[in-house]
Amino acid sequence: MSNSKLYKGSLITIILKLLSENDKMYGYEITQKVKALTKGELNITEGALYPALHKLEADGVLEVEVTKVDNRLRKYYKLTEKGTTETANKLSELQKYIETMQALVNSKTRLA
Amino acid sequence: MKKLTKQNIQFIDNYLKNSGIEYLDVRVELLDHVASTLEAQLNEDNTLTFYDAFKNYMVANKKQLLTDYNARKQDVFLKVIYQHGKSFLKGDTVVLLFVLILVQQYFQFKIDENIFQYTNFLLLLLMIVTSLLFFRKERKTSLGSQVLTSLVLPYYVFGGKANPISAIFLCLFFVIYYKLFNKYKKMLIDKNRNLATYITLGALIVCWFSISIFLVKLTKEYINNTIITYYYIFQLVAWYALFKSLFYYKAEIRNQYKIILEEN
Repeated sequence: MSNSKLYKGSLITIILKLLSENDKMYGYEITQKVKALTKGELNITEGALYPALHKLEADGVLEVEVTKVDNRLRKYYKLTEKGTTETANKLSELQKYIETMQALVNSKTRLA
Repeated sequence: MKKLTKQNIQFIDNYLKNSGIEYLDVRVELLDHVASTLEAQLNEDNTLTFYDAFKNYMVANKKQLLTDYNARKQDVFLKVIYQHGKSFLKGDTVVLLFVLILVQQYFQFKIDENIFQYTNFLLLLLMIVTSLLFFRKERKTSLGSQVLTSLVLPYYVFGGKANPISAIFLCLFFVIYYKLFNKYKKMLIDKNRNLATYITLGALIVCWFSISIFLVKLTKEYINNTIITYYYIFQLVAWYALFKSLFYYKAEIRNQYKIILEEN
């Protein structure tokens, strides 16, 4: 399981991307989904996830829905209209970053 | 698929509450996270009991949970202060301020220092009574509780002392005190939570009164009734803005956490 600092800057984009594909998700579900998608490579801790979710909520990117599930309450997050635009921006930003990094990392092999 | 029982959920909730996680909104979310994790572990390993799984989880994560909780409290407080500031700069508040200043220019009324202090104190009382009546349930949430904490701020900022110069210094003192308190808070709380609170509150009150008496005496000769009157107008508008953001928050908390407030 890697928790490299490199992933840290992309946490918000990862959350937004997941929420854009699923109507609404709760905290634990997000951590498990990321773990499954990355085959255990990326493990988001609650210490990183919840502050990020709360910040996005405060910024109006996410909205909250509380429902009762199995003897307890569950807080779901979903994208607001502002959130949907934000997701598109963040994703293209990340895509560009990946391309740039790839160009940099691969440049040496091409030269040699 | 194993699910936790109602008693198990209650057990986790009580544990979190006794660990100092008192705000409902945070606890509800944390409770669900812990419960979901434990359910997954219990389903993976059939020999594991609920209490063992719970113990293992808390040994590994409790410290981090409490650190995050305290960080969140501070974040929410800053957000509240920011919102108060924004509410002060909104159109109607600015218009009210200008109208009051124009009225003062026209009628040239003068406010006496005693009136200033009495009305300020009455407004503080009114604010506390209103918020306790209207925020009975909401104050159990992180946002509600921090809003109530912030209510005493204008009283500190403008002071029971009708003296802008001393108020500026007192604000500075408050900021330094708050910074220092946060720096050493963890050390104090680790030892003894209640004692730490009493000592810090006591120290704040003693420092506050001695510094304010000293400052008021020192700066009194520079203050005349006109300055006090403008200061009074400014302070009235600040209370108005605070009332406004108080109800803004009430609506926001009701809107977001309706079901949490109803369940508890």
